[in-house]
Amino acid sequence: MNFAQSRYFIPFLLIAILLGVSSCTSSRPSLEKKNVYEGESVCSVALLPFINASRFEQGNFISQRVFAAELNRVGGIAVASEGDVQNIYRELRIFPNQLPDIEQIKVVGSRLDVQLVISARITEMEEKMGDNYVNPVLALTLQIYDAKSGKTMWTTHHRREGSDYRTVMHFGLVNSVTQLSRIMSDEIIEEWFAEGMKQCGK
Amino acid sequence: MKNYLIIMLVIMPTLIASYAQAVTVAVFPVEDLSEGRNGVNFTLTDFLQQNLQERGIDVIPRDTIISFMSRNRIRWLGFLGTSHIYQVRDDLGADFVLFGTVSQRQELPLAAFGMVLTLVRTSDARTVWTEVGGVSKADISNFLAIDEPESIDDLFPVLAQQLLSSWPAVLEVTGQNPCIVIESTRLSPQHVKPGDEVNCAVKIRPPAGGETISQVLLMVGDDNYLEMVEISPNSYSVVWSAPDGRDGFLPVSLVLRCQSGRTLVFFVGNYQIDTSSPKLSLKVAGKRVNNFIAFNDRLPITPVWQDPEPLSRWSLFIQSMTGQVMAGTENKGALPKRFVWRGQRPDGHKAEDGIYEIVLKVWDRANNPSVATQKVFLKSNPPNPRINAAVGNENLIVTLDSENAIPVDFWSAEIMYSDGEVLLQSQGSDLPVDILIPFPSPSDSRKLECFVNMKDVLGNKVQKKIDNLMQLITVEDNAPEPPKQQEWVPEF
Repeated sequence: MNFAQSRYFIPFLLIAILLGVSSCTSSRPSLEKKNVYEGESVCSVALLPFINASRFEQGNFISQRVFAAELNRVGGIAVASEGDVQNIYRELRIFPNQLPDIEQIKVVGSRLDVQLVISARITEMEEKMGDNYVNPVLALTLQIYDAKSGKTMWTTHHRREGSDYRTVMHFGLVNSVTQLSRIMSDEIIEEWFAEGMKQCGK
Repeated sequence: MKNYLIIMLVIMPTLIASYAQAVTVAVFPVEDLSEGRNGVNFTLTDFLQQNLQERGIDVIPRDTIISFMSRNRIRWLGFLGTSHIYQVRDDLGADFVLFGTVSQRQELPLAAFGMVLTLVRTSDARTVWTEVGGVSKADISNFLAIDEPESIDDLFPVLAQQLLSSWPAVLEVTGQNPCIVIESTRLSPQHVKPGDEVNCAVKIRPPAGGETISQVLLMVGDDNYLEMVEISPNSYSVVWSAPDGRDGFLPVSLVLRCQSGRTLVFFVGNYQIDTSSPKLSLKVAGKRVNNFIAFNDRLPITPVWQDPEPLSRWSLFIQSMTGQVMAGTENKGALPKRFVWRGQRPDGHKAEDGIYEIVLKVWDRANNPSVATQKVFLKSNPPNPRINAAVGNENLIVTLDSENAIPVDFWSAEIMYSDGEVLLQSQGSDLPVDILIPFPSPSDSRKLECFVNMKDVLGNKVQKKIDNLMQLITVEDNAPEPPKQQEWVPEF
C-alpha cells in the first residue's frame, strides 16, 4: 500500500469502525433478581403461554415457539411440551392470557417435573417500515419462577430493534420479527447464564 | 477378490448409514400463524415430507396423520402433549414427530418468511433437534440484483435449506426412560366445611415398557395417606371427609409407588377447610328519621365487608313486613359493589309507603351462609299541608302544618288577592307556624287566595292552592247551644 492509498484508507477505516461501534452500543437485557435459585444446574423448564400485549397478531405464539426452540438449542434445556402446559391450564381453569397463582405454578412444576417455570409478556412487537428495509421492534418481559415454591426468582426485560444490529451501511440489519426474536432469545438465555444460572450438565 | 473387497468397503458404510437413518418420522401439518391461530400450510408439510424422504427417512403419509389427529381430537398444530406423542409411537409406529410453525409469511411491507422446526423423539417425548430461522427480501442482496428473491415463494426454499442443513446426521431412536404421564387430575370441591366430602380423581398413563406402578396413594396434609381405588383402567379416585378442628389450606399430592421401589410425588393442589361464615353488613344511603332509614325514590344499598372473601353465590330480596317480596335478585360469584332499589314492586308500579326489610344472603366458597338485614321506610307520597284560618284581634291568623310524620324541610306561602295583588309572602322550615295577615278592608270585595309549597326532608314536594281563604275561617261561637228537640213535632 503506497502513501496515497493509505491516506484515504485510514480515515475510511476509522469511519467504518466508528459506524460499527456506534451501532453496537445496544443495551443488554435488564435483569432483576428477587430470589436465589438454590437448585442444581437447570435442565428442564416449562413455558407458560406467552401473553400478547402488543398489536402484532399471534406475536405471543411466534415469540414463544422461538424462545422454546432457542432454550433447547442454545441452552440445552428440555422444555416441557406446550400441549402438557395447556392441558394443565384447562384443568385448573386458567385463561391463556392470565397468569397462574403460586399454587398453580407449583402444580405445573410438579406435574411436568421441571425445575423452573417461565412466563412472558410481549409488550411491544411491530415491523416499522424504513427506507427500503423493515425495522422490527420487540420488547418482552419474562419472569422465572421456582417450580417447587412457586416464587418469582428473576424478572428480565429486553427491548431491541432490528437496526440495533446494524454494522455498516445496511449490513447486519435484522429485517424480520422472527430473526429478531431468535437473536433476543439467545441474548436473554446468555444473560441468564452469565448472571448465575447453571447450564445443564455443567 | 480385490474387486469384491472394494465393493464391500463402498457398500458397508452406506448400509451402516442407512441403518442409522432407518427411522420413521411423522411430519405433522405445519402450523401457519400468518393465517391465524388455526392456520395450516400443507404445501410446506409436503415439502418437508419430500425433503426427509430424499434423506432416506421413512415418512408417515399425511392422510394417516390427519386421521390420527381426528381420532384423538387434536385441535391445535405445532405441538402435542406427551401422552399424544407416546400415542403417535404406539399407533403410527413413528420414532420421531416433526412439528413446523410458520411464524411469518408476508409479501408486504417487505417479503419475509420465518419458520420454527422441532423434532421430538416419541420414545421419551424429548426434543432432539430444533431450528429457527427468518429471512427477508432485504437479507438477500446479490451483485446487480441478479437472482434476488422477489416474493415469499423465492424465500421459502432458501430458508428451508438453511434450517434443514443442521438436520442431525444420526438420530438416536432410544432415549431416556419414558416417564409416567399424569393425564389429568381433579380435586373437588376445593373449599369445604368440616365434614364435607372431598373427591380426587386422577388418570395416569404408565409408559409402555417402563416402570410398573404398584400402589397409587393420595397424601392429604403432611402425613395422611389414602389409597386410591382404580375405577377404570389407569383411572383412580378416592373420597374422604374434611377433618374437624382444622381451618386453612391442606396440600394434596399424588404418590406413585413403583415396583422398583421408586416413589414419585406429584402436587395436585390445595383444598381449603373453612369454618367461618362471611362477615358483612348493609349500608343504605337514606335519611335517618325516627330510628329508620327513610327514602322517597331510589335507595342505594352497599354491602360492607368486615373481612372480604370470595363468594360462591348471593341473593338480595326486599320484602314488606307482611313477607311480600317487592324486588329480588340472585347470582353466582362476586357480590356487586352496589344495588339500587327504586321503590318499585315487581310489576314496575310504585310500592306503597311503609316499612320494608332488605335481606342480603351470601354463601362463601365452602357454602357457609351469612345474612345481613336492614329495615327502611319508603315514603314517596308528598306531604299533606293542613291550612286553617282564624280571626285574631287585629289580624287574620293562617295556621300552616303538615299531616305527615316526615319532617318538612321547606315551606313557602303566598297570600294574594284574586286580581294578583300580593298581600304577603312568607317561608321557613319549621312547622306548625302562624302567619298573620292584616284584615282586608270591608269594602274590598276581592277574594283572598293562598298558595302553599311544601317539601319534606326526603324531597317529596307538594303545592296547594286555596281559592278563598276567608272560607276557612272558623268563627268561635260562645253562645250556648239551643236545646235539642226531645220529641217529634209535626213541622220542623
